[in-house]
Amino acid sequence: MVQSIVSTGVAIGCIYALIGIAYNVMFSASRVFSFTAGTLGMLGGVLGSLFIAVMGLPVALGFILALAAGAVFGVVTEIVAVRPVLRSLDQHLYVLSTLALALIVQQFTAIEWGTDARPFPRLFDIARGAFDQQFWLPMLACAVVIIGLELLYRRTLIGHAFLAIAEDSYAARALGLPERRLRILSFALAGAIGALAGFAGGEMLLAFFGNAPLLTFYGFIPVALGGMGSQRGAVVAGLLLGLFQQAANFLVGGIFASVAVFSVFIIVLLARPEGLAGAGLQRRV
Amino acid sequence: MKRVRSRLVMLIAIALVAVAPAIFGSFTITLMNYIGIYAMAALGLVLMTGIAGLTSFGQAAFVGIGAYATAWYTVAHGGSPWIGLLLALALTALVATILGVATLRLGGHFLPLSTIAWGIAIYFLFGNTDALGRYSGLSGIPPIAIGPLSFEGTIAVYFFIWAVLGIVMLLCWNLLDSRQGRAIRCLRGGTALVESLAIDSFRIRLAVFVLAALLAGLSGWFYAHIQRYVGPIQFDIDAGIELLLMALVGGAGQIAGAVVGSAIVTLAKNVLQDVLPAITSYSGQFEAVVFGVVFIILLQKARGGVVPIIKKYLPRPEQNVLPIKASPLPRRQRTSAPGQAVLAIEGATKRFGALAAVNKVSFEVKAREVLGLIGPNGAGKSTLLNLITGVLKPNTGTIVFQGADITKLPPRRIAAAGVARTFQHVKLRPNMTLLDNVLLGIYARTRAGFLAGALRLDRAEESAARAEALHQLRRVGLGDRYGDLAGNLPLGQQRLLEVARALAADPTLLVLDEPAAGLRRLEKQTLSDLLRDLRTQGMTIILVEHDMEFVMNLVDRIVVMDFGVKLAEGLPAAIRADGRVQEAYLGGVA
Repeated sequence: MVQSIVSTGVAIGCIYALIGIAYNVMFSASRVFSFTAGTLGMLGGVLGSLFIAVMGLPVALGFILALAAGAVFGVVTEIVAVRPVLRSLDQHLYVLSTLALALIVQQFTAIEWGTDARPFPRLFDIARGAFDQQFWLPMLACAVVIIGLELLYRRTLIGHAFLAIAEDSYAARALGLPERRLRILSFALAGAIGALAGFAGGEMLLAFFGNAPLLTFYGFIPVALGGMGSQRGAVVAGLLLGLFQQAANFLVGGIFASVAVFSVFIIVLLARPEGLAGAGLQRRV
Repeated sequence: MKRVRSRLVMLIAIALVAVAPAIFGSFTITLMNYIGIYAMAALGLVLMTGIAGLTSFGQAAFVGIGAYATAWYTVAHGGSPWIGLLLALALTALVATILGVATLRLGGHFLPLSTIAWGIAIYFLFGNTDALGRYSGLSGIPPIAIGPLSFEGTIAVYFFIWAVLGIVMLLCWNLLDSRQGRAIRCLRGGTALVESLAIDSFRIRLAVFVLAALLAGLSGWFYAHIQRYVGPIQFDIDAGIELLLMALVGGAGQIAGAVVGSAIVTLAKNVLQDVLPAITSYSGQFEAVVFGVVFIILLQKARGGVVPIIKKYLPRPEQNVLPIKASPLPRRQRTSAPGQAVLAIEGATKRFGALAAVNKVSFEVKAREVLGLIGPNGAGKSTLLNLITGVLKPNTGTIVFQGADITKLPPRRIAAAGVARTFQHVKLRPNMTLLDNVLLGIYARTRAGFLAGALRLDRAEESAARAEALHQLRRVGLGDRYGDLAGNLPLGQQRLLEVARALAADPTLLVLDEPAAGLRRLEKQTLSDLLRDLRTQGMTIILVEHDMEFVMNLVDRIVVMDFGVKLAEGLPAAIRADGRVQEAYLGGVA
């Protein structure tokens, strides 16, 4: 039982962490929490299943297409739901606009794909075991994304530009950085990461339209607890959330497990509003 | 003339509601009943989200609490719907208070999210409680009746709903135009200003939150007794989002927006339910898609909602009718004798990381003097003012005001003790009138509560407050523009308005952060004269200012700061001659 809690918990924690990273990448570029993050994960699963299981495309091609679709949806999010409300960030209108877009895509998926959860294809022809691909795929995806982002941010010029925008978009614009193009790129990147989360976790979560709100909520918790914009915080908090949720599932069962997760979330937020990870943002003088 | 015309618009609206049953069939009237019921819950969101800026997705949960409370009492215990109403209101207020205390301290993004969390939690609670019929809900709820007079028919209950709606709208309208209502309207746009006015922002937020929940509870009570059935699905998170959509479509921040938004959304839903099945077999999902699209178009094209668009074509109602006669408000007793220290700063230090913005600064401000605080940019002047007013807390050192240690007090307590301030970056409420902005300053000098404001029991105090506000506006030379919106003033006059607001608090110590910046020569002269005038009347003033001519001609003493430390202190002439000061300003050339 303990082994099952740990392997499921870590794998699902990795998916939450990836969704949290997608939130963070969008937040860093725009100061907006886009509640389409979970929709991206849902699309990764549904499109992966559509391309590979239904249309019979090769796994590699289906994978690339699913990520590309996620990136496109990220760009659409920026244009439709984020850009119009950027001028009035203090009114929290982005909560409404991004939720509305998420709702449109989710319900459209329900119409076209159906409201039942459909199976996600097995990607590799290996025998099942304790460390089945449904567990290690999310872990691998999470590791790849973290290392990839680290390299991007530290080693490349465009990564530095992303960091500059996140630090102070006004100053970055004054330096001549193309803030709008970088923001669109960030949303595309976040889209691909979110789709990857759904794709890698497809076998565990299935191809199901209802995953969108689920991932939107559970993916936000690592962001809030890990500190906004902190990738490492998102990973640590995501893993903790996954383990806690699985343990609660075993001990008290479905609905009360979600109540337990929400209660812990609210209590932690009240005690440490800046997140568990550390001092949060230093005040700018 | 204008007033007559805007009254006329109101009368026509009331007349239309009154004659509707004679014109329309029972189907339309039923629809209008639901419009009225949803409008009550949406009105709560107009106050909370539109005016106070607290976005909530959980309003439907409070409608549910009200509905379930009366349903449970009347069905399971055979009680009267009127007791059920009391129960519904009491329970929603109780739950809202508990949730509000727990979550309203959450900042920024987290508050809207927490409303989603408890919205879902309450839904699950309804669906999993045996006494509430689990997911099948409660049915057989009796209709509302007064003695033998039953509101069972569509038309009887129609008049009842719309009469109640009219009354609560009027009460909300009154409230917003009163002392506590202005505090609610001032919440939006940051707490720095709110707390500097001695307003307890958490208390006001909590009050708005509970008020919105009460309106939802009232709506739920009607809903339960008209639908005669309640189930959890009617109060899920989608219903909460729909109520928010109503408030936004109508025009968040507009009381009439609640009715307009409720009507538009309810009618649109009705039309969609008729039309969609003909186009697609997935009508439920398609409805959500259409609503999502409408939502996004609305946010992009008409963020203010429908009512402001209509209002453009209607006469603007005369606001803030001036008092003809009013008894003056009580003034603060000034206990300090001239020459006695009103404010004593002792070794105050404030560090931001490695930088000491204020470093072991000590000085006193004596009663009835004007003290100038000068220094180059980045010397720590504004940080020092923030320490005095409690916005920032010093790492070490003490600040004593009129003999009391205020070092650790929150800004609103310091403001209440008699320290009023203006801000370097002007903080006004641009969508409120000049008079309303100054009235905000009087908050701490008046007493009227929420109920008194809603029932207009506060008129005597309100007239006195208005007379005082107008007096202060006249003193800074803005008396004839009292009805204009503050946002329409040029920057210099906005600074003067801030001075008027600070004066309206009748402070012992006036703290001015660059009051003359952006003022024209003549305006500077007026301000200078006013400050001299205030000094003779017994006020103590500390001001930060870069205009040396203004400072040298006005102040009694000067404190010079540079790199966080006090460089010099003395009379203007001595400071002018001081070599260190010249060096700090001119970089050692002198």
